[in-house]
Amino acid sequence: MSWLDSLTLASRSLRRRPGRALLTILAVTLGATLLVALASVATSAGSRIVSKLTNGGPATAIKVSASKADSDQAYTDDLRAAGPKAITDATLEAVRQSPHVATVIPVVTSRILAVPPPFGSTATATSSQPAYGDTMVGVDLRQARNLPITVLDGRLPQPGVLNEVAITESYLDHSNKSVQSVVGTQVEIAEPQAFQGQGGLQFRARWIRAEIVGVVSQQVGSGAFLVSIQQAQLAQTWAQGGVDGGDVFPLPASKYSGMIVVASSLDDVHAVRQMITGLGYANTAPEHLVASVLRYLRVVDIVLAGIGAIALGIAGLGVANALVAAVRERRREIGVLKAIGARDRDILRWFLLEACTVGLLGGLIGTLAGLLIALWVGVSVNTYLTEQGLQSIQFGDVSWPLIGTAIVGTTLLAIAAGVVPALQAARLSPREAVAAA
Amino acid sequence: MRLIGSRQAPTRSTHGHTITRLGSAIHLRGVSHWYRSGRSQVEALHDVELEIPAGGYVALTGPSGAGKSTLLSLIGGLERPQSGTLTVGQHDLRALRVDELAAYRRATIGFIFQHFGLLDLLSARENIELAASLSASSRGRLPARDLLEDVGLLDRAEHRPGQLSGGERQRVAIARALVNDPSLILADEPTGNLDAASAMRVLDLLERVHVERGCTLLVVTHNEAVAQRAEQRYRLDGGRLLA
Repeated sequence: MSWLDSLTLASRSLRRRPGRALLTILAVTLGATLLVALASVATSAGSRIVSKLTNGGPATAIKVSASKADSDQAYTDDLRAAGPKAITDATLEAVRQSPHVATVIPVVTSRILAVPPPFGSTATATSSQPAYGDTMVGVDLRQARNLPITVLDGRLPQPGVLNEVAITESYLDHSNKSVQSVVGTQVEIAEPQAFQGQGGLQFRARWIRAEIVGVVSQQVGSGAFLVSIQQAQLAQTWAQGGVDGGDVFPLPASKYSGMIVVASSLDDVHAVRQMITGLGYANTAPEHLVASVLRYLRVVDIVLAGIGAIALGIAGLGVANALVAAVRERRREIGVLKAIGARDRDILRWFLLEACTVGLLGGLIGTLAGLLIALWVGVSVNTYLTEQGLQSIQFGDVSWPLIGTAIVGTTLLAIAAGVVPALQAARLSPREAVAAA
Repeated sequence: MRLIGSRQAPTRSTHGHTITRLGSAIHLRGVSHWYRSGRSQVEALHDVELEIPAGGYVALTGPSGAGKSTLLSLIGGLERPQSGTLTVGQHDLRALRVDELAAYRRATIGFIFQHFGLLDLLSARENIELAASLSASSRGRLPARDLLEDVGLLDRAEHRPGQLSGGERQRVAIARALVNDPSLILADEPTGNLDAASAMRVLDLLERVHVERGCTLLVVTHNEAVAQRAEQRYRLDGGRLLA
């Protein structure tokens, strides 16, 4: 018997008992729906929790400061600084070459004066909003996905572009604008240089006017202005062309104010932190917190997987039950087929293809339904979060591995459930089966 | 009207026994067979001796429970005799393994059942083609449409068995039995579920197949009128063969 013949028999057998076939497919569908919906929601929620803990960056990111580490640094997630320690290009290279390090991203900061609009002819005299001191944080924005930055509105500045800036919410207090209205406005930034004038220490500035292209929450460095690293380096070079401005505008003690080190995996974070601490730098990473949360999430995953497995198990029993009934009903047909020369494997294939069809259809419909339910849950949760003034969660990402696993898994489960009844059918004595008519 | 095809193609089973469709003489020597019923054994056949020549037309009669269907299932390879010797052509059926028995049934036997044995899921044409597809070799295989035309049912080719009368179903079953060009046709009460006119038409068809194709025809029947048409008649009673 050809595969096509077996498939024809299987599909027509299902159509002969449409009610039973529908209920069996529905059982598989429900199992697959539950599994996919739970997995989708759990994955989205888990990613969101970890993302929140790491401020949007990867869970493997370690923030290193241009500071000496104190003796307790190795035992805590927090930054334990004990005085300045310069980060140089040699430091970056040494860390980059270390094992388990995926990426090293330097951070450059520079003190500035910021002037929100409307702009006057001088920094302070005619503007309704006075100039205020802040810090510009420059990073290689091509690696933004490896940085603890969350875009709340708009976008990040283009890498290498000098007249774009993203601001944090603290700027809003000075500009009297909202998150939505500030994007697209401009800000004047004065990069100061101290010099010894006739009356003692005086300051001059290199002025730039930049467009605010986005609002972000960032943990890269302490400052309200996120810019490309080239902009921050220009400001630093300009400041170093003068003298130390004292407490107001001190000269930077280190070429880099910090760096973000991304470990190869979560398991490597501890080793990389030990290496950085060994080099003498204070550093921070939510290592223990993320590990604890991931353990809890793992428990949640296991519980949800258990619920899904129970649902699929019930679906599998449904498939087995339907096929056992089918074998009982089709004893005469099985006998006739054997009498006219069908082999045991022909009968086996007929019933297994029937189980496979049920599993495949149930898996396809269930996976689609599961994704739709996950999407619906996401919309409902986000509606609630928005009403509460909280940041929404990104749901609805299509996980192709999950979809593939769900469809293939339910199909294999149905086939497995069909093995025993199919073997019963295949092993029926043709004489007894014919006589059963 | 003439049935097409010939009976010359050998097929080979997976375990090396060559199953051919030549020579369908049947020899039973001291064949006994019994079934287990609870804790006791019921003897279905007792020391049966039977010779049916190749190309013969034999009727087997007897009351219910006499062992007729058991004898038919042994000759048809549905099960193996528990004692004695049973050969069909050159095949010792007791020596064949399960899959070799299946190959023997595909290559040698055309079964016709009282209940027709058609699959309700398939059309008349598909029932015949399914039987054809069971055979690994296409040699000697006859086209389903030619067979349906031959049994006068070409216009009913796409009808399901449920849409056919009893006589039509049995004619489809005969067409199916012929699709792999068998050398032995085993008919178990082929007219048992038919009215007199349909029964005669089916018998005429079977006898024409027997004559034109030279295959051995063994008919099990309760009906003395049907049995009278055979060249040889045997009677089974209580598992014993009476001449």
